Amino acid sequence: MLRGSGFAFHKLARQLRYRRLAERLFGFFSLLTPFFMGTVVGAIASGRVPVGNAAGDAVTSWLNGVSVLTGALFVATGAYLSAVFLISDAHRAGDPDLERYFSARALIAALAAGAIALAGILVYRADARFIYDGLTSEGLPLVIVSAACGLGVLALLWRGQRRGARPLAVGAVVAVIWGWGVAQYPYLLPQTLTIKDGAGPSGTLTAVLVVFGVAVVVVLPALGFLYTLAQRSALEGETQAPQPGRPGR
Amino acid sequence: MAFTLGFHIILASFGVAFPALMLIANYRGLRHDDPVALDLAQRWSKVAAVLFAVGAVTGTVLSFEFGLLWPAFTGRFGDVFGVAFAIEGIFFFTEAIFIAIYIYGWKRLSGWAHFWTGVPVVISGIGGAFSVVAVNSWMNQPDGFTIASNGQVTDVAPLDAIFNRATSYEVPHMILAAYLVTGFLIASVYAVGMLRGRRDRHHRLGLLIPLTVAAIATPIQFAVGDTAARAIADDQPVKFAAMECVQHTHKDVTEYLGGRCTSSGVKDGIGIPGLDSFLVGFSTDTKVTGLDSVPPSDRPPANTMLHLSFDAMVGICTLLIGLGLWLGWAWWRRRDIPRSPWFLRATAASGVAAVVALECGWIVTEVGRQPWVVYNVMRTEDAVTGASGVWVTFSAVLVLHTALAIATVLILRTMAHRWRTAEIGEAEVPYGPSEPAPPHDPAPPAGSPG
Repeated sequence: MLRGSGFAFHKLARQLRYRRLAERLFGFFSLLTPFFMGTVVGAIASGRVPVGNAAGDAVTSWLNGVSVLTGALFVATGAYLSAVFLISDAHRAGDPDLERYFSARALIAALAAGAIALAGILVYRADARFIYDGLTSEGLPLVIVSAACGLGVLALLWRGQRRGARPLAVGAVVAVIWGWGVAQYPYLLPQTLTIKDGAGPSGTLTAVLVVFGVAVVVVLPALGFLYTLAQRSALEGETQAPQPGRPGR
Repeated sequence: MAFTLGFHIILASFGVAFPALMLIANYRGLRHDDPVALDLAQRWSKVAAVLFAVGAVTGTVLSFEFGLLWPAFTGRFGDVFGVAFAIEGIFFFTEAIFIAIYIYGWKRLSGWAHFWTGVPVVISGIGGAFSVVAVNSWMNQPDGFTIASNGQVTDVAPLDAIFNRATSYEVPHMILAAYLVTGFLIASVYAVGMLRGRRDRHHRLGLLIPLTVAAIATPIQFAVGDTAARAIADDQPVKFAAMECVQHTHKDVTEYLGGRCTSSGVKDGIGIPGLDSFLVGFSTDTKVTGLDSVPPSDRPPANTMLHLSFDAMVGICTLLIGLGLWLGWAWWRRRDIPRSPWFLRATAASGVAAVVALECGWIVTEVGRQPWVVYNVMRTEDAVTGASGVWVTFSAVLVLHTALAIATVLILRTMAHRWRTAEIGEAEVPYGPSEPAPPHDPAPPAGSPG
């Protein structure tokens, strides 16, 4: 709620201090949102979420080593991806200072994410053994792809190159999420609830697939249209400063 | 949850209906080369975007509350009604994307191309309302599944769940309600401005467009609501009995306006003999099912509140029809809005009245269904979470929503003030040959990210 309202209001606030307030709200809660999402993933990975309503512990389920580490990893990954994407945007806006600013931050975020991931190996080995085993066996190729992509981005950033950083950064994140899926298969909640047992009846699944197909057909072209318009108007340089709060998420 | 919903229902109404008003102004501006109408459309698009964003925020809270507060409800029946929410997701994203294109498209697209980017917003607003209200209809008239002997929900048919018996009257009733609330609320803002002496064309047009839309929608809403009430007498007789406080099943039932509901019928109300039966079946001989048709544990609570909410909704709708007729009469005679200051006062009050009617209608459908969350299938007490600490989250939600409401009102007031004090000259005309600095973002902060 606070993140959404911060975003909705930050452009509209008239006085600088209210604008600052809205921006701080948006910024701070933009950190908390991925962090807590990570803690939830960590709770599931470490087997702290039993089947049933309110069956697990209300606090320790998400407040533990695996959860906190996963939360931190999510924040670092988000920062890393955003910074890498903003380098090119800053370049397009013709602002070399901003470009350097984001390059430095992308590098720091990449190193932080790498460090957290390395620490994660130990924590997961100790407390989320099922996922650890999956990531080091069936999921290993994807983990290697992810690491290679991550190192590639680091090398590019180190040499001050922009080109190729975006797809490599995306590749690093996609590969590790995919690898995670492979590692957790066939469980929704590791070793207690399989995907098959957790799934809805086939009628619903078919309907959801159809809806998803419609979404791909309807929403994606519209999103593409919006993105094209946004990028093109940025190219035309109609506004001088980089637009604060471009539409979209 | 009730609090979030009661809050969200107002914002959602704007999301459904406001884009249509904005496009009508846009159409007028392009068709008649009317810069004031175009300017209104541009302002309204910004207001619509703010309300849409806040609506998205409360909507997100709601989607979490479904899982957190109603685990048994979503766990057991999510397969049945969830698809409607998935469809709503598509409409939501489509609406969000095209609102963004529309807002950023001022000046960047040609006039008519820009107008057409607004059309998907209107369509997806209606589609989104359809999907969400279909779920509520389903709670009133559950369909599209069977319950096996072991209690498992089987034979799920999502389409049958979406197009249940109540969808055909509940969905149009809510969409029209959205147009009523938005139309009267926007008109009331301009009516207040005119009462304060701002009689420029901006205010006249800003009052006329929404008020005309609402005035056309109101009588239709009355007819749809009447059909809905008759359908409820058939589909959910106990809810209807509670709304009208009919204790025993009998013929020639008296219709009471106002009053308290007691175990021996309505007290202190104005009774019209036979009218209730007549309204249900067009004959005073029609038998109306009473509350005694089900055991006390299956009857809704707070019958006086239900009865008064229903009466308030119908009463307000009747008064709003009168307001529309007043406008129509003056327009027919003199091509102008009525001169009496009482017309402006009535219009100024109509916005709040429409919101009250909306909330009353929502109370009638939700409280009237109790003790069921899924009518005749699942009791509310079986659906709600057993988790402790709900009061803590409720308090947090309450505080956050209050803050959000205050911030929204402040922001909208600031925007209005800024527009009022700004010179309305060439720079404010959205389409034009010369392209001065875009009207939004008067002073973007220097690039200081972080």
